[in-house]
Amino acid sequence: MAITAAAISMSTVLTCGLAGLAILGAARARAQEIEPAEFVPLPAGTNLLLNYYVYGDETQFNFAKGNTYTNNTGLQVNLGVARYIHYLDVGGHPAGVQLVQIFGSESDGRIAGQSLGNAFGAVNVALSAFIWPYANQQKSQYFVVAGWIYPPTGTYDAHSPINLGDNRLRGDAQIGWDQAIGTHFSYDAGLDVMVYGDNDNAFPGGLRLSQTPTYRLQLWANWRWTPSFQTSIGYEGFFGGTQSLNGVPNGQKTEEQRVRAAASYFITPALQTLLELNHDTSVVGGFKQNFGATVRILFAF
Amino acid sequence: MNRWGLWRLVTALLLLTACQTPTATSTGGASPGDLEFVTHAYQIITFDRQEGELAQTQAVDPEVRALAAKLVNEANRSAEQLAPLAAAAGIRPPNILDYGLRVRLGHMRIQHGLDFDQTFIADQIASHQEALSMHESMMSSGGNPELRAFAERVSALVRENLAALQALQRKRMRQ
Repeated sequence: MAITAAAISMSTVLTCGLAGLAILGAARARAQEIEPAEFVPLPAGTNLLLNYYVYGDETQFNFAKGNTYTNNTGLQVNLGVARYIHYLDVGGHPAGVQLVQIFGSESDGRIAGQSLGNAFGAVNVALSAFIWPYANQQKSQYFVVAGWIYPPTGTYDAHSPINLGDNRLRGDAQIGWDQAIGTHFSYDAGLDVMVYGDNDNAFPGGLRLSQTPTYRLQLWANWRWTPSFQTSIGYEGFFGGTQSLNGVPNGQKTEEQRVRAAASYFITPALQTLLELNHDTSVVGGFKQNFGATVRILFAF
Repeated sequence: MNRWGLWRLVTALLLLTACQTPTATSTGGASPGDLEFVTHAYQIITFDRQEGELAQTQAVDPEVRALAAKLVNEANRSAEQLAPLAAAAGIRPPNILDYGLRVRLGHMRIQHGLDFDQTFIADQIASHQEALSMHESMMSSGGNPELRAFAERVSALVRENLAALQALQRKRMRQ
């Protein structure tokens, strides 16, 4: 099925646009999104089990180089995340492996009154390995390199405009830096690039969805008030990620600017809780999250 | 990456993970008591070295910093002495810290030095008390004679360092 730019009417823009929503929805809780201090290596042998609840209230939709819809438009995101991390020592360098599974729902999706339906199930599983080529405990400086792979294991229905899985292989390369300045202040910076395989069965079935790489910058500035309590403010910016259906841009991309605030508290040395609140300041080519919240419980064993 | 490539990667990482052990293992005829002694000795020496090294930049009090440097030197010397004794006794030392020490050390890194001095002294008093108890147990249990002699030599030093740590803690509490 060939689609030409000239043939795209208002309704087909909407229809074509819906085909990529599964990716944008899943982007709300991508596995390589970091919380404060995640780039600090823990001793070899440490296991972490992290469970998250992620809520997103998305209230606008923008088509790249097109309209922004605010009336009768939105998406409700309710996701759970199960994440396991194991730290290793590889040739004298801190390292680790992790597995992340996101699941849940994206519901009440609509653009200008046109229903997108609901999606329930699992996002692609994420597998990752990471190593710190430079880790200086004395100076509290840590540089980490991580690789991620997302096999297409997520729930996917080619006849639904909205999905949690995306029927394609994805990979991501990430670098991160954590540094403390004094005893109260520290910051984290992360940069990653995600590359996408093609989905050869995109909505409404049989179309080929391709996407250019997405670049992401994440920053956190942290203030530790006590050994157990820390607050942070952060930024997350997505760039690139232009989608095409059968070679024709469909108006979706991953350009998003987000502000974040977080507070974390160690209930015991092995048990930490974290709350993050966030807001998208601008989005091009996708849903804009008016309000987002993440609750995380971390357990070390 | 194809499916087999992914499985190979996962298998390699699982093997790497399986090689980690927080307990000493026998490579030929070591008694349970000797294994337990080497396990605890390794754990305490490694923890003292790593926490003591952090103290070189994160401790505020010069007295804490100086005592930490002394503890690191002595832990390094103990590690050098213990390694050949363990090998001769047919014991392979653990290669990771046990759960409690991992959590304590992880916390120190995440805290980036906040309240370091107080935490360091409390940690070191606990680890020295544990070391003393371990050495006394080894001396009375009658295991490998070389390991027992090592325990006798080191216990005097541990007692001396424990007294210094407790004195420093008392001094800081008075201030």
